[in-house]
Amino acid sequence: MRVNGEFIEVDCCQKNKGANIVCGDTFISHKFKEEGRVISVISDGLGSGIKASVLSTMTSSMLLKFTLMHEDIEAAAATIIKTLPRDEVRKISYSTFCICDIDYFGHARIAEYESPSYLLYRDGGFVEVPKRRVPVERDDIGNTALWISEFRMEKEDRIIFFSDGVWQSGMGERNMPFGWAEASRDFILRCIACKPGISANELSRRIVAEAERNDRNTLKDDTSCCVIYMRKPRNLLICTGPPYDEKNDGHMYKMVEEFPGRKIVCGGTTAQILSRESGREITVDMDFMDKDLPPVSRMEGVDLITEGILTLSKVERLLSGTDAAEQHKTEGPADLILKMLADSDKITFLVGTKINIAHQDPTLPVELEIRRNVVKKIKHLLETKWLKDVDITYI
Amino acid sequence: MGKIEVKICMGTMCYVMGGAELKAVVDTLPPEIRDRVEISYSPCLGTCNNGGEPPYVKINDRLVARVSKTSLLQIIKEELYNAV
Repeated sequence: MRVNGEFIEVDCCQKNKGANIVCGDTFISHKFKEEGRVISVISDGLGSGIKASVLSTMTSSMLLKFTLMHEDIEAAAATIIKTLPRDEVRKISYSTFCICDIDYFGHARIAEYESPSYLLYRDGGFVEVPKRRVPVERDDIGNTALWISEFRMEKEDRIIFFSDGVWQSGMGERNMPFGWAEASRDFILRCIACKPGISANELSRRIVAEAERNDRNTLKDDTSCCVIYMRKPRNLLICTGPPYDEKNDGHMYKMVEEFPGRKIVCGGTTAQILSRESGREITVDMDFMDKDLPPVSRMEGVDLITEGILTLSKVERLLSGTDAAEQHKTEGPADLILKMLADSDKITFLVGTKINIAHQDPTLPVELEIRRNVVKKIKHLLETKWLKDVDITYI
Repeated sequence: MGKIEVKICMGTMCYVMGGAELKAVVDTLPPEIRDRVEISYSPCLGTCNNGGEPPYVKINDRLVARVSKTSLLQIIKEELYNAV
């Protein structure tokens, strides 16, 4: 969360060249909660495949560390260039990058090295930010430079940067002999005009999908697009578990009722407490969309009601990507939660800590986790993998 | 002929103790029985906590414990017989 209450949504869509199994581009983004900083890097390694992937992974991870420690960007770039392994054929060590560092006050600093220029979208158009050229001395290639730009991010600003796979898509086609470069700007403007609140997640996916279409559905280069969007946070509340003390049932209901955003309730007993307090009825769906989980329920004022611990455990497994059998997208309760999580920026868990003694019976056919442990795991995954702001309140 | 209400508990305990399988039973009821039964699911009925015996099914207002795939059909038939 920024000083002005805004949230920075960061997302990247990446697709590999042709049928490659490894992407030669690397994207890393980290949120440093204590400092309120968000650092995002895209690096494109020379060539494609494993060799390119090694180059870009080294570049992006070193850059992230150097930037985090407030090291001088010129020195960092020089060190990286010297460290990268040399390509045996081309006799150079080379990868391009674009790194964006945004601090707590919304001050953005972007350094680009040989990558397509980033775009800053503001108030219906692109803003040209003055850039400072910093020459980079190297033995193998002459006349290369870093471009540094700094500006203050404003509400609803979007920073869009990509690897040259986007820029050069469609090159050689009759309608875009020099690639998509300029036309991509119009495409992005159209996307935002059609859907002014388009999320970073959706916009980055649309851009990469269009690049793929330009290349007749088989990309000619690894393609990555990162979108950073300073937006009003989309809030989501997940209320799960009865309060430790029954006296707090009313308080829990009040917190759910007054929450400004979308609401999910995970747990039958929890839903019944809310139903009792509000006087609204719960109806259980007759369709089992997921054979492993009880169906969802409905109640006025809540966007989704699911069973508790089995569903949350499945959400945790899906998020961590450990269950290969569960990779198929369905409309099951856990998938619905996942979708709502993806479409939210700030997620608040309201966790009732009452332990259901019956769940601790060792003779049960399945092992039932303790609620607050699962929620803690989900919080960690959402923060590190999906870059969300997550808070837990126990009641 | 009167109809009976069958409410299957979908609370966590009932679900893991066999409640999940009861859906298959109610989905495949013979037509002459199906027409006389009002089926619904319920969030946790709250009976499993103190040494209960899930899964639970509520038939009209009667709570039945430890219902299995085989016993559910029998229970429905008995209830229908009594309702005549």
